[in-house]
Amino acid sequence: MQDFSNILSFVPGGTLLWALFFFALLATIITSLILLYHWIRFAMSPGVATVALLIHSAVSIVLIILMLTALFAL
Amino acid sequence: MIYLQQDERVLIKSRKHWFVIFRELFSAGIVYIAPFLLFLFVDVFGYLKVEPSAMGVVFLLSFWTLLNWLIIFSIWTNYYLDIWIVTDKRIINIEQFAFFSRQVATQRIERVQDVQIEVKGIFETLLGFGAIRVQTAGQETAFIARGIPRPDRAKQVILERVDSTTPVQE
Repeated sequence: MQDFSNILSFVPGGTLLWALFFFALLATIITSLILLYHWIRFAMSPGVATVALLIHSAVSIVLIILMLTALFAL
Repeated sequence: MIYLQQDERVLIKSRKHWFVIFRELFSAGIVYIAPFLLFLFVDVFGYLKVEPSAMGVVFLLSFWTLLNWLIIFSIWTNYYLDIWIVTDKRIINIEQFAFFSRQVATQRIERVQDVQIEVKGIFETLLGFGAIRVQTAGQETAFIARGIPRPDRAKQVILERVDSTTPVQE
């Protein structure tokens, strides 16, 4: 039977984590822009959309900072 | 954004029932905690061969939370952009299916012939929400809005408005 346990052994652990980080960063930026477009274009109440944008951005930024802190500490 | 006419009066403006978004968020929550449960299971039964570093756990936790946070906000946006408006002239149903997939259906109130409500299942019955089906003149397919809170009240408001706009036949 083929052993797949070392399938990612050619990728250094740090590189894999950095790849995950950039993937998450890119996903966050793209999704946030799409959400922002929808809120600006279609939301009936600009106040709710602004609060949603602030909460979304704040939590996303905190999580990205946490990921970066962990990456540099590893 | 929906622009109403100057003399148009809004009779009902409602989003879907809160249980509709709760159901979707609950599913997202299950997906979010699944890896933690798996990790706990592996750890408790001693299958975990390596001791994970604290910062590694922080990284993976933040990564997973961020991805789920994006999913949660997408669910909320889809919920928030769905809206059902009954005015004294029209019935407007805005349905956001996904990003870049949106349907805005409008029916003139005087064309309404029949209004049906459908309340199916234990949650819909207990929490008081359901679908409303509006049949209009000259259309084979009915106009359907789902997850509407208090559909019986909505039906009553629409029929009262229809009666007031339809001329009484002698």
